[in-house]
Amino acid sequence: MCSKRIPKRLKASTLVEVLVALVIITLVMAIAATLYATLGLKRPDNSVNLQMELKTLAAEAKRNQDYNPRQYELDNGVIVDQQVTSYQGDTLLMLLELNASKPGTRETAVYREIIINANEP
Amino acid sequence: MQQIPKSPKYLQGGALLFALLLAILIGVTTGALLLLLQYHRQYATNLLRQERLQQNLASAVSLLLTNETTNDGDTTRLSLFNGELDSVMLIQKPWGVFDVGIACAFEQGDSLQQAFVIGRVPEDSERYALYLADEYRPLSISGDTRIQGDAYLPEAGIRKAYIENRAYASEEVIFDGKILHSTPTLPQINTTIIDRLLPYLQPGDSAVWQQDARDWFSAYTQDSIGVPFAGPALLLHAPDSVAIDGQVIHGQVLLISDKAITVTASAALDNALLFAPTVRFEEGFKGRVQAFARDSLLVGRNCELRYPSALGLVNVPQDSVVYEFQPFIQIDSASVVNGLVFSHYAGSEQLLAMIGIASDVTIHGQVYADGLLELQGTVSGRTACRRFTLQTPSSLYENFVLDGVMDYTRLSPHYGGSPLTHAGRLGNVLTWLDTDRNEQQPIVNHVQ
Repeated sequence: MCSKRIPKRLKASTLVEVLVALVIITLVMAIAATLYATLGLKRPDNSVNLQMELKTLAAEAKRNQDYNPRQYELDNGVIVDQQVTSYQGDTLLMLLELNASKPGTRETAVYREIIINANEP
Repeated sequence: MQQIPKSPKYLQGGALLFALLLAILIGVTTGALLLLLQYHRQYATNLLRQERLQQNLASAVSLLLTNETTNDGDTTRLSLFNGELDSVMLIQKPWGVFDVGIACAFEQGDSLQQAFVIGRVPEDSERYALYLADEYRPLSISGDTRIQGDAYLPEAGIRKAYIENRAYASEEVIFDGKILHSTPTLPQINTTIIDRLLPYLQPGDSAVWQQDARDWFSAYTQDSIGVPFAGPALLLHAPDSVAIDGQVIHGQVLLISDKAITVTASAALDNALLFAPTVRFEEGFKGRVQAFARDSLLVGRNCELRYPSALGLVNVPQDSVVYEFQPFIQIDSASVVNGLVFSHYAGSEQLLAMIGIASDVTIHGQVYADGLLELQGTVSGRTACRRFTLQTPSSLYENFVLDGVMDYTRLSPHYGGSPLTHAGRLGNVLTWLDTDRNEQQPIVNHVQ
């Protein structure tokens, strides 16, 4: 009896196809990672947190009427610089300015408010 | 029979197809993440902008609180720090004996706005319990009279007196203060404030405000009349007598009557201005109002005028001055007035304007009587008058006080007065306006 064997063939990708696929996936992932990293580095919630910290500090300075220029470091490593100057030469008005920055990052925040100099006779 | 073999199963292994599917999946996931991040960024940017607006608004309020008073509406638009994101608009306009400030900060279509009544912080020289003009006669005190705080008195001094079977009850004549010498005239008031009131008390059709006024009786049918301070004021005019009964009038509303205004206990007034020859608040009225009269102003029993209110008797200069009766303000017992009570009346010596404060009445703020003052109640704050008077069933006493209390120490340290009687430039917020619950909530406008 004569039997005819039909060979089983496995259809596979060629080496070129595999290489092209690898390149596409790598490219897409690289673009995605770059975009995410770029946007993620400038995390907006950091700026908001810094701004809120400054708002709290400004409220505290106003409550205690502590208008001396000073620089101090917060627990999270943020450095705050407080300046109080006369606003446009008016003795009744002062400009309270707080600048915050975190060393090693590009995060900065500014709080500026014109306040009344209640101690002015 | 020969069996035909089945066709072989081919395993699909297209790497390219698989890679494309994976790339799409990664793309979609990354896109979603980026979208989320962008949304988050936008939210944070809005939050920061709101914070900046709040800061600029607070700065604008400070600028308004140190502005000089003005009789014309004054609108200024400026950049606070010469930057791009610091634009504010300052509006200051007169409102009775006070000023109203409207601060507005705006940036990229968003704006925050606050309206408030501006008061003036008393200067050191304005912190006294009593200023009695020197008319070369002493001040006599009897009964439970109490002067607490500095007192400016005539050179003839102060003495304890026994009248109406009552002797002075205390040892000291001045508590917690010192005696200073007064002058024959009272401390000057800011007459520009009087000038802003006068047109509404001028009789006749020639008044400049007539063209802007609406007829009161056309508005009378409404249960509630409310006008925000951010816009123009509503002037309501009545040629006849007016009775406000059961109505709600709040905001920037001026009611002018050529004859008389009566306010009943069921009326609700909040920040409104009333002008008439005669104004009368009936027993039990409660509200915040500034009322100015030419002839008489009566506050019934048990009324409460909330801070900052004002009651004023204003002299209207006329070509032919004939004073037929004594102009007066009378505040009946158990009433409370928070704010300013004043008379500014040239009058004649025989018919000096009179302010009568009955027993159990409390004034938190200031009494300025450019004339006579009959004080039997309590002034928690500042009292200034030309002369005291006391009418009893049997006698009329001049420069006598029986059971009157003048106590500056009871005044809140945060008290702010009217620029009418306070010369200082430093201001404070007396009340926030255009808010439902009278809270310090700025009005937020989003312009798309």
